[in-house]
Amino acid sequence: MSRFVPLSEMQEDEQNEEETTIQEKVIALINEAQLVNSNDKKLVCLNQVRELIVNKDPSLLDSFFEEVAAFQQDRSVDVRKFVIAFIETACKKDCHYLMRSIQIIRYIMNDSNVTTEKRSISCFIQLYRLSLQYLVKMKTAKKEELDMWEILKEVKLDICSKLHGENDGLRTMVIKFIETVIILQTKKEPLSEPPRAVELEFSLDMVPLSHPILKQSELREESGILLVQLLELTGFPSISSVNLMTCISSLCAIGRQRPLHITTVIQTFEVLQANLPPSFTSSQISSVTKHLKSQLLGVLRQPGSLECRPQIVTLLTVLGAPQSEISKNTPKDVSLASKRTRSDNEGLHSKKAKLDESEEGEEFSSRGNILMEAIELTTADLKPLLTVESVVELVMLSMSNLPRLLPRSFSHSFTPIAAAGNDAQVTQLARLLASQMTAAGIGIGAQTKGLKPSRKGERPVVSDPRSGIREPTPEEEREREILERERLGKDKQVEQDETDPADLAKSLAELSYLGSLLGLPDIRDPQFPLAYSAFFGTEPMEVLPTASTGESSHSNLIVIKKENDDTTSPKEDDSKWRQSLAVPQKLKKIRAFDLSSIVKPLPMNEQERLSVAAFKRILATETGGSSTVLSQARTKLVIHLVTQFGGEFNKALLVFILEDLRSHFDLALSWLYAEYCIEEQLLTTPTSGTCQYENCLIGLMSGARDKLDNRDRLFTRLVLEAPKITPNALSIIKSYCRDEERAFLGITTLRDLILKKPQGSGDFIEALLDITTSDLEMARLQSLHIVKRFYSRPSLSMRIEKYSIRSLQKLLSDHPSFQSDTELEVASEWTEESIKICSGLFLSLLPINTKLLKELAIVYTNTIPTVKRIMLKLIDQPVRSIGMNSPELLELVEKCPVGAETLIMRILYILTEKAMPSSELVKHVRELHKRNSNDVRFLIPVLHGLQKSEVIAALPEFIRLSPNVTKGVFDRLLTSSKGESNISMSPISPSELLIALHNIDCRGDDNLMKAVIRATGLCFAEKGVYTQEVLAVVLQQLVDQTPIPILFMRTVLQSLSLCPRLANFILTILTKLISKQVWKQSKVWQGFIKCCESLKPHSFQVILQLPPQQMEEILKSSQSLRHPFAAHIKELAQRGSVPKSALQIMERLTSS
Amino acid sequence: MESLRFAVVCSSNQNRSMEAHHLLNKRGYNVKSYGIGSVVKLPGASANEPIIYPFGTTYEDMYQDLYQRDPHLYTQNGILQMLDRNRRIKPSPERFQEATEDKFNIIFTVGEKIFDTVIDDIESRGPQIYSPVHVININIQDNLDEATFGSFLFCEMCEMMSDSEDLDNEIELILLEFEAKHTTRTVLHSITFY
Repeated sequence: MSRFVPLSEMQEDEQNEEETTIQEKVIALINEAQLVNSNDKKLVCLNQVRELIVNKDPSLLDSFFEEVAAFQQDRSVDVRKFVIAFIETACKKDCHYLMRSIQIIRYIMNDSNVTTEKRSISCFIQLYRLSLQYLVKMKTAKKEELDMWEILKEVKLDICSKLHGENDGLRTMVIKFIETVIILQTKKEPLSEPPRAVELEFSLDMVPLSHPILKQSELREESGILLVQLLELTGFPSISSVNLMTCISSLCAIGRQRPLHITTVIQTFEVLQANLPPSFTSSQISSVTKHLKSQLLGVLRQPGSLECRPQIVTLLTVLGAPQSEISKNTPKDVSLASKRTRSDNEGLHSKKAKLDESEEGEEFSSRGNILMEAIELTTADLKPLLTVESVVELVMLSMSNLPRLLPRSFSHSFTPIAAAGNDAQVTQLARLLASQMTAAGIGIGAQTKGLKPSRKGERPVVSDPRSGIREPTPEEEREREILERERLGKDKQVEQDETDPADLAKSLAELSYLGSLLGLPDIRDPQFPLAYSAFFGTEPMEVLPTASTGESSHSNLIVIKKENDDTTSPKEDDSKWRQSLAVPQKLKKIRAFDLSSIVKPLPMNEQERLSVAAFKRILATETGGSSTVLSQARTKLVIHLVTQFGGEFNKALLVFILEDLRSHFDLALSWLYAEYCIEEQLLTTPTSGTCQYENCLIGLMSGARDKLDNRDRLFTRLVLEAPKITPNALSIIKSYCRDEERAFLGITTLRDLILKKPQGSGDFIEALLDITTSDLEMARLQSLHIVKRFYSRPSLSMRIEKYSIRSLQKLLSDHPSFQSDTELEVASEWTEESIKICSGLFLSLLPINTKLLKELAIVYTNTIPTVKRIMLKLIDQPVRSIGMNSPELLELVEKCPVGAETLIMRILYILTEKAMPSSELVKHVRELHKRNSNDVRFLIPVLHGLQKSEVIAALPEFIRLSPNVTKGVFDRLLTSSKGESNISMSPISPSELLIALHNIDCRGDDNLMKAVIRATGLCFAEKGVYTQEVLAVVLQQLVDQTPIPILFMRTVLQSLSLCPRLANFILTILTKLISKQVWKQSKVWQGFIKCCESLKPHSFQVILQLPPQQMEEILKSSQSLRHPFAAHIKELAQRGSVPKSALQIMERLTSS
Repeated sequence: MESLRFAVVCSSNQNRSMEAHHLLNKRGYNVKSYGIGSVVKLPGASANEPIIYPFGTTYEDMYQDLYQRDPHLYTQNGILQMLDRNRRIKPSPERFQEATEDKFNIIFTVGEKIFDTVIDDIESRGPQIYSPVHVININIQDNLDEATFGSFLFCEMCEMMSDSEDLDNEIELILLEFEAKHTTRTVLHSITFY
């Protein structure tokens, strides 16, 4: 917007200093308002502008109107609202701005903001009145005024079209607008309530019949149509209480100001009072009832209401108004007024006739009068019929149609009947019945009045504000025909309905479409006419057979409507809507539109197809975000439909949920729970229910399997949150566990189920245990891990234990057998794998519960050797973790069942492999050995724990074992002395061991002797252990013994051969032996000789020390010694140091 | 958006409406309070002898007057404290029927009679600017405790209404929600136009 400098204005107003400053101020403020960003500041500026223009100098309005109006395009709602307020003020000041203002309002009204939309309507209400007041003064039709009137009509139509919009607040304003239009476009009457201010006054009678722009008949017709719309709005079952109250106020205002319409209004209220929307809460009902009551009292106060005062009083009594209040609000001049009314009434028909000729529009009120007359006729007809007996019978008949619970509305609107049975009350009852019957199109009144053959001619010509007078469209014609037919069918129910079904279906489609466009009220309760007809002897009308089909046919209607909508383009739709606005709707008003009587159910499959299609569309309305009230309601609706109808709905919902299980998870759960609840209810009755819940769960789970990632925990969540896991559902989880890809998820799901659903954990744990014997190693290990953790729970331990034993006992059979999927597989041979599978669980439990060792021993003793061998291998880990301090283990070791020796042995080996045996263990092994003394093998593992004496005592037994075992024993005894750890010390030192070997008494036992020799051999083989020094110690100790051990000399010789350095030491040994008269022990003596031989020539010195007899003996027996020794003697003789005896012996030997 | 304009109406513009006025003011709502009766009545020495002032008398004058009469009695029954609070809020009680220039979005009333009178009064002025106003009634007894309790109820409702983006469209839901929360309270609602 360019800056505005009104130069001409300035020149004109130069003389007025003050005015100029105001003008300058205004300019400055407008410029500032254009520039500032803040809405608040902008509003402050603009408000100042308004203040200056309106209050200080209205003449400036002309200069600045457009400048301010230009803010209509501002982004801020508040600024736009200011513009509306501004032009409103401007128009009130000077009606020359009307044209421009209306254009602005039209612009702003198309705004998407509801607030400005509402504000524009409230402004337009005033502008419309001002415009009419302005236009009516026009004597000739100028183009400008004609254009203005066209725009006015356009905006008016636009506002009226919003009556069926979404927004309650907006609708409130539209209702108010319609009220104003009706009042402006009808004639003032003598008894009209006067307007509050003279300047507000405008009514149709101010418009001259020959006005160039405004056409009286056109305006009247339009007001008539609008009144019907307003009246019908009160019958909408979905109307909000706010709108209903606005409607009531508006109708009462119309009634007060235009008494001609009071009858119609009261008539509508009578129907409304008995048919408040069922969705209202008690407080809404009391608010509406109270509102209606006070509004009616307001009408009653008006002298114009005299004509139908009895009806108003009756209605007020029904609404619970006390008599005192009624009489307080009744005007005093009754007698005078009533007299006049009566004369009016008498002249009504003649006046009507006159009016009908000249003023077509009067027809709307006469339509109301026809309705009233119909009700009066029916009332008169009914009244004599209402004897006590017939009323009782009527009550009894209706009894079955009453709801089980007292509806809220009833308790609020019910007032006890004070004087039951008196004439006034009977009349009132007859009236009530009559008004409902007439509304339903039955009864004598409706028949006589509603079936006037002139009806067609009476139809008012429709006015379209843009196209002027037009003929009814073919569609409207058809609609009317259908309505006609429907009414005929209803009124002459005794006759057969001759309409053919195909025609009916077509009519239905059309009707529902038109009905939806016209905002046709919902089908009213058909029960009342039924009860009536049954009682009064006419044929009952066709009523939809059951509630459920009623519901489905209803949804069909929606479907048809929707489909029709789909085929209509928005623009076309809009124009149709406008046309429909202009359709004379009074036809429907006269007899209630009862679809049920002309509707035939669609074929089953068609119903199904349509309902499923509708359901799918409901599903497709997802908006995202589960917290909103709307989507909660949607979920409820969907679940309700599915649980109630199942079948195709189920499939559709399942497909929908599985499209994106994650985001539809809540829906899935709600569904599951709903099905579950239903099933639970069915279970309480003996009839077996369907397994709908299971189908639903299975469907979801299998869907999850197909759609989700193999490790997606959503599956687990689904299973966990499902109210119940059925056997089939469990088998799906099991199938997960058998699948290598999904086993992980399956097992963790089972685990969580056991943890979180204790009530069904029996089945779950059983399933989990089955996996522990699965041939899928990964699954097996994982499940074992989990089961082990569960084992510590007292509630589960027994079950797990039993299962583990059972599976271990499978090893007793000759061939392995497995439960794989469904059939029992029998393999021919036990393999390591199969044994591992059977014993896996048991062995993993073993360290936790050592009491199970007993079972192990029992099974072990009875199995075949192959199994035994593998089992010995498998127990390694568990036994190691049990350790040697477990009492049960010690007990088992001590008792050692027959046949389990190898097992015990293995256990002992495992235990002592890397640790020093505990004293407890040694004690128990010792006990075992004592009882079972022939088997020294038990002692081997615990050698390190034994006393030296015990080792020595058992030594003969050890060396008698197979060479390998003996070597093992010696290894243990010798190696550990090196000390792998400090604790593990052999009880016997290597030298002691060798000495002990020599001291074994093996006289007369060659085998033992051989064993000892072998054992010493083993010792000598350990060169690292038996060093020169050790051997020297051994020899030294042995030589001091008496008698010398038999094998002594053998050891000496071996020592010599191993360690030649020992030669000198051995010579001293030999010398010692001489002193011990070694020749007395023949074996040792032979050894002695051999030793001398191997030590020659150093041994000659020793030989010389022998007594002569022995010296001779030695030289005789050993040829190899003889000559070297002789040479040695000779040498010695030369030096003269040879004993005589030696020389003599030598001579004897050489000579012989 | 412009903030909502609230009014609270009781009979004398002393206790119930002022208590609510005080609280709503403190919470930052745009609020005014009114009495609907023909005169301002305060409890006197006995139930039959109410003290009567014409509308327009300031709270300050009433305070001084009662203090002169019987400081003990009027301290005991809480009237002086109430007047003291009131004089800090505004100078004097206002009569609803006289304040025709003030336009509101919401009018709270504390009794059915007051509710009816308010609606009748607005309607008797005739439509001028066609601006809708919601009149909402919750019955509250005329004593200090109930007034305090009532003020919290009104405050809660104000909060719900101020949170609403389109009050005219959502008022029904708001009232339903409110009633669901306070099941013992019946809410009367009506709509009329300035």
